[in-house]
Amino acid sequence: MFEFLFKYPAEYFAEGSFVSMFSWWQLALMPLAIATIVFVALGYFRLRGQTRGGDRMTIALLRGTALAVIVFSLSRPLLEVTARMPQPGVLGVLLDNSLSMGLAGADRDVRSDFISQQLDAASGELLRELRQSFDLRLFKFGGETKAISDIGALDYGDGDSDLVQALRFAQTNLRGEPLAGLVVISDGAMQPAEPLDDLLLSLRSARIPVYSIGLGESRYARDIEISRVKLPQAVLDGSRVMADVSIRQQGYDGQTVELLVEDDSRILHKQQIRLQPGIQSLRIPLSLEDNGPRQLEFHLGAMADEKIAANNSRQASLTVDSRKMRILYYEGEPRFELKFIRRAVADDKALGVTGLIRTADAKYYRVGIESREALRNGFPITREELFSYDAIILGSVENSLLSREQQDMIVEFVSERGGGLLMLGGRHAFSEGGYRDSVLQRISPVVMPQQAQSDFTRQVRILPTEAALVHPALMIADSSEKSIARWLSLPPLTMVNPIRRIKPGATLLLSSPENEQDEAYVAMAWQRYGRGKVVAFPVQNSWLWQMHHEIELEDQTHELLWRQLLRWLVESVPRRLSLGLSAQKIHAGGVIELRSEILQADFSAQRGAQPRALLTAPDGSEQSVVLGAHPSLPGIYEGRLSVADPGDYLVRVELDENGVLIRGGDTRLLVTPAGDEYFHSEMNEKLLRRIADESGGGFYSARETDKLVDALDNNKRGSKTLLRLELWDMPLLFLLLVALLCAEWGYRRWRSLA
Amino acid sequence: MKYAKSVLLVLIATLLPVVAIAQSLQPDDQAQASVEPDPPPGNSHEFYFTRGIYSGEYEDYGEAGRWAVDYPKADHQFLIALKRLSVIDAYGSDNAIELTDPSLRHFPLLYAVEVGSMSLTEAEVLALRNYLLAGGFLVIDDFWGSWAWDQFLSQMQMVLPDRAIVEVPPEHPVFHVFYNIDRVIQVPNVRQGWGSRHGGPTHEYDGFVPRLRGIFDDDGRLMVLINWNTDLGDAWEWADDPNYPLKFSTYAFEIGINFVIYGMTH
Repeated sequence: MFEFLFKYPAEYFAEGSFVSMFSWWQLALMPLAIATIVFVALGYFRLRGQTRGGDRMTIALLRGTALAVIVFSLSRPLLEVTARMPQPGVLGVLLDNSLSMGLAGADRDVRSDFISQQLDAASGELLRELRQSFDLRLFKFGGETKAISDIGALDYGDGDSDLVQALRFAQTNLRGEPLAGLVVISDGAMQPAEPLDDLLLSLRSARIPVYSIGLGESRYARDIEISRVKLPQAVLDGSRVMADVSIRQQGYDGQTVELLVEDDSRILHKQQIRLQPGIQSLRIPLSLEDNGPRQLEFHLGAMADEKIAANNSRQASLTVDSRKMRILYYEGEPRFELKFIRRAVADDKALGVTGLIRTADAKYYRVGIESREALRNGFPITREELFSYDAIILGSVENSLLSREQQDMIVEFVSERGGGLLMLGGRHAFSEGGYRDSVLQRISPVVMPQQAQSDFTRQVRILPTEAALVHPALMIADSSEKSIARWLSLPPLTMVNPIRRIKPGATLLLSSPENEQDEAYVAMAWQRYGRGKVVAFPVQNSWLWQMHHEIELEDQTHELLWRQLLRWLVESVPRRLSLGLSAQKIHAGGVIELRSEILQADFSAQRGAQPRALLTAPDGSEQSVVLGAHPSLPGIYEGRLSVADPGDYLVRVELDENGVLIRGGDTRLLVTPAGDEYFHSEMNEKLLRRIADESGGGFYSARETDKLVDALDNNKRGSKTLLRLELWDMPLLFLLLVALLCAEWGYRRWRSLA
Repeated sequence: MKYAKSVLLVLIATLLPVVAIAQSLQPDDQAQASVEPDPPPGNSHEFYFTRGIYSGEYEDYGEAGRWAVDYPKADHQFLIALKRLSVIDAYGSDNAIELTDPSLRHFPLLYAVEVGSMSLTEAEVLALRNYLLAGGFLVIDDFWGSWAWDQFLSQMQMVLPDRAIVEVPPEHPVFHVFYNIDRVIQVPNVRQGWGSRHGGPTHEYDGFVPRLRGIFDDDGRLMVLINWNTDLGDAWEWADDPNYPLKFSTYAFEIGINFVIYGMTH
């Protein structure tokens, strides 16, 4: 009877709660309805003399109640109840299959033991409890993620585990299922290859809570590792390479360890390091002897009682470029600076400096040209001719010697071609050369003074800034300490361009304090502009560092400085074909992502090309993949390659251009069984907790499985669901309305009021 | 021959303004025709025409030694032509300096004359050697005949004992860096120059044939440029003398400017 009148069982009303689904227009009509009721009531009470007060009261009560029943129905009343679904919900369980799961903790328990004990098909207690409420789907993840039927498929042999990729895989794989959530059982020891934000947003919007169980120690008592090595992608043959190395350690404060850097078993650098607490960073100068793609190994000596020895070595690759870089030195007047710069780099096979010197009005002398036709018409007037160089040095060349079109071309040379621009000081340079309001001022790293000071001449000492002491171009001795001493001992130079400010994005490298009170003059600053570099060196006679009587004949400071400066200026100038890898080291069976940039002969982006990436194995076998054009970036082509076997691979890109095969972008790829799995191998509670908290799940330790089960049981998704039941059409309401209207009609008949 | 005359006419026309400027100066070589009389203020200018003061066997040239022959008028007049014909930021006056002066190294181009009398001290040998090895460029002028050559050779063998003196070939950049010079001509001193207008000889002693020789470094760059059996300095000094043949002054200015620009670019 109850269910007939109220449409739903009585327990629904006992457990559920009422909600209204009033919409905004319904709420807007509410005052109108109340006004109508008041108006009707007042109408009744005005009928004095014809009816008694008791009649009016009774009729008003009956009519008002009927109206209230109608308004209640119109408000779309709902009953919200939690109901168990007829089918159990699905729960995805992601199991870490990486090598680091084989590590033992301080209590000698191996991380993977938890999975063996708790998720065993026969005796696993956690597995049994979860199965009572959920339809379980198991996944294993390491370098890639796979669905598995039981934990017998786990071998804990994967490298480079990627939790983000694993969660995405499970989310995609379980789409359409009544998913209660995902459970991750892992040490979290990984560096996510992509930012977490996108994944977390996706989990939140799909209302998929992630519950994580963290395994292993969150901090080792005693361990040392090379946590990071950074090298430039390419350097010129013979250049000094600055390697940034980060060392992380616990338990060895104050002790000394040897750092060894090797290139194919040849020792490049050896250094004793006194260990500091936490992470310490080093900048190591290296000189490479061999050309081509190189794989350098950075190795720390093993320490006593160390947790993991495998993280004491790290590999990093770079390409030693043997090409000769072409530099155009444009000088507005004969100056000794050109002579001595050319002499300084004359023996450098990587650098070729061509001089274009104005010797008289409209008369030029060319020196170091490669053909009789080169620069015949003066400074290049075509993009093709200018872009054939890798860098430009502008000497004492007044603004009017360069047309607007030529200056625009120089800007494009830097920003698009990726070339280097070095602006030297001189009586016709910077503001004194009329560049204050020029196009080149825009790309200069210094702020040129509003007023030119043609009579300014100052002998100044040049001092390095902090940035210069670790800069590969300005390190003019074997160590930072010796380099500082050398800078301080160099004789003063002449400055005719008083510049005191640099642009916000620029870096000050050299300065020349006038005195202790005054602001320093800028002696060297640089900034990136687009793809290239712009350097300002507003002194006019650095050749004094070669010729000055205080400089010993054997001293190589001037030569070293200019070789390093010009090499640094051009070493990142892009080639027509370049290739970048998503990682320099991956685990066997992993996937490497390739991104290549293909440029035309004039260094504009090449569209519609079909470049191939070529992977050469140590045994000489090759595999290749055609790279596809990026959907929005012209000249960029991308692809992926899977590498099955460990080894030292060579990767390059090749392009068939009108029947001519062009190759480039040579780089090395190291494939190991473990990848980087033993680095950052402590349990990453921060990562696991963040994923859990932000997705609406929870983080639990290995001893808190009961809390996990409780949390899942209370989960309102999956096995239980939230129901919203319509109440406006309950038979009771209809019967009540009919009864009220009939009662009013009957009363009127009885009282002869109809 | 007709062609040669045409070339000569063009050259004369080119240098007429220079000669006019030069002639405005006093013809007396003892006069101080300094445009900027103050001493050079360090390295505020790009180029200083620097004359080397060296020890010599015959210190009988007035109060100075043989190094000062034609000094300073030749230097001044050459600088006027250099500044008029090129865009070099040159200091406008003379800049004589002793070889042992430490500041010699601040002036990477050095001019020395009458080196047949050169007799360097040990300190001067070392200073000149260091100057050249560091990158300095030495231009030698105005010494004649085999006796002077031998004396100069003996001095240079002390300065650069491991380097040979060789002929500078006509295709060398020093002949083409600013003016195209196709042959070395003998530039006479002022008296021989006057005489040459009447068919007199241009040589002195047994220096019949003018030579342009050099000492090169390991990379093929000239370190020392030797004008033997010729006298550019007199041609600069007497360029304002209507009796001194214009062809000699013209040639001297041309090759002198070539030397400077070569020295600043190589």
